Amino acid sequence: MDFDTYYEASYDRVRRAMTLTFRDPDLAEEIAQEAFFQTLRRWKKVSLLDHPEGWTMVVALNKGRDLHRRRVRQQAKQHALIPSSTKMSGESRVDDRVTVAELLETLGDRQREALLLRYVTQLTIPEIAKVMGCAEGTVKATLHAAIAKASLHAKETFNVVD
Amino acid sequence: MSSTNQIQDLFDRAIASVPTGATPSSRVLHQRLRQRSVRARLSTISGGLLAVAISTTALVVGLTSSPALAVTLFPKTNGSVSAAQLAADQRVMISRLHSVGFTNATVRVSNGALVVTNGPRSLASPTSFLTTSPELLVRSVICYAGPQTGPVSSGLLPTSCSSSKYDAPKVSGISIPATRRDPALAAFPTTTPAEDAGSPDRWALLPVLDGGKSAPQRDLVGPTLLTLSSKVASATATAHVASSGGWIVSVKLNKAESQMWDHVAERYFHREIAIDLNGIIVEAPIIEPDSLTFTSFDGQMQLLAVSKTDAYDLAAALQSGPLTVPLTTQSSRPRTSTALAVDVSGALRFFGAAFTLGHRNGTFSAGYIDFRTSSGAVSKILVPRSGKFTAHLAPGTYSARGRLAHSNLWCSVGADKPFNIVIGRDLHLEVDCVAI
Repeated sequence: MDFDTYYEASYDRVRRAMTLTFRDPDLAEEIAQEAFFQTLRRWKKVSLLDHPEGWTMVVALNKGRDLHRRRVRQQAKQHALIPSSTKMSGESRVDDRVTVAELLETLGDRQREALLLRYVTQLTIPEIAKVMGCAEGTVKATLHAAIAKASLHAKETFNVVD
Repeated sequence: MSSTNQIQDLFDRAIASVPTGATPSSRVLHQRLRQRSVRARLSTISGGLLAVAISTTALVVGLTSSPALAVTLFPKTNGSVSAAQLAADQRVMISRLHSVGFTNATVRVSNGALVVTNGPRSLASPTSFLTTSPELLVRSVICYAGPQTGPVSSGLLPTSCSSSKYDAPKVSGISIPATRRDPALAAFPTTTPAEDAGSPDRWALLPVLDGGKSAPQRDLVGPTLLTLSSKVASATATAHVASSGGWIVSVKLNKAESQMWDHVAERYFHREIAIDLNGIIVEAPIIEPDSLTFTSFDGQMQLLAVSKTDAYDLAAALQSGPLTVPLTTQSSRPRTSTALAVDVSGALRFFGAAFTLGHRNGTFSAGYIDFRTSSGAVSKILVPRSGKFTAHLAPGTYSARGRLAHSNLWCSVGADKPFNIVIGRDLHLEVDCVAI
């Protein structure tokens, strides 16, 4: 697979995942661009992976965390902290978006990473373990904790019953 | 529906709800990568060139400043020295240092002494020609003597050989007769440089410089016939080709002294003359042994020096002319309870470190070492990058530690152990510098 094909197939999904995670479409765009640039730089090695998108997703999350923190610091300096949710646009299914974004905000970095790899990138547990560089058991435990937190959040928000 | 499925469903809906955006062309990424590669290549090349330039500069600076040190030269007199005399000596010292290749050397007058920085190491030696006013005493050679052996005679030095068969050669042809050493002179001690300088008009038993490779021969020499002490027209040092080794200093005397030299040489035609420099015979030529008539030397004279440094220092000293007041590294001021010279020298050898730092900072500079008394008083002493330096400290117990301005090296004196400075007792300390 060449990079351009991979880029066309994966870019939008990564951008959407970052929009959900950081609740800022402009920031998500910047993060996605940067993540795919890093992927291109290392394409010879990344292309040999079973799931290059998992690698790009992790790079995007790491980059996003840095950029997000920097922006928060800048905004704090300017005393003009605007709630990022106000930048969300579109009328349909806004609730779903806000809920997932709020859910992701309540999670730790590793839990957020695991959830996105599992439910957005659709990786299996062994694949997530490989991408995250940890044991499968660790991934299972991380996902379990993240899902438990997510379920609780979903019940409180939508009164979902199992 | 399981919670996993609910979460999956929630994510699916959330992802789908994010507005679709146009995917930027991947060309932008490819272009950015190309620009980055070019920038990286340029940065590597310019960085490499910069590193080479800095390294070369640091190496040149390091090499030229490697032998640098600060030496304080005190007037060698018990009387008072005027500012004009010191200024004159300052000019002479600058001229000498420049002529031996230390063009970066500086000489300043400070507290009645001359402080030389970036000068040669040999300057700190008490026998350095650079700090003296060389006087060439021309004497006649009377007879030869071997090294001093047996009981030392306390009698007066004879003024002639014990037998005419030991007389120094008188040559009237190309063959020079072998002359034996006078055994009667073996018991007499060698005339010291101080005795020689103090009584130039008396007979003396002086060692002959032979490159330092064999047992010293001594010559019984007569009273000084001529003193050559003014500025010479030129003096150059060249490697000696004789088997005895050493270096030759070729001297061209100025016109007035050339005439005097010729006058003495003519008087002693076909006889041996000794050139006495600081109590050592540096040349003992037989005057034109292969000539039937005397011809002028035209001011030419050759002197022998043991080492290359001595040869160049002597040439510089002769060429620059005499010092107004002789100088010495030892203070002639009476030692009081407030000042004592401490000779601190040794392991300030960190050229590699200095080079590395020069690489980083591009400059070298001296630093300070704090000499701290037990009561907490601190004397901050400026130290050179390497070599010996002298600190004036009051008697007491000190600990010393310092950091050189240009480096991460901490230097300690006496390995961080307190040391005592006592009046009248010289102290030699090692300075150790270590990376932190």
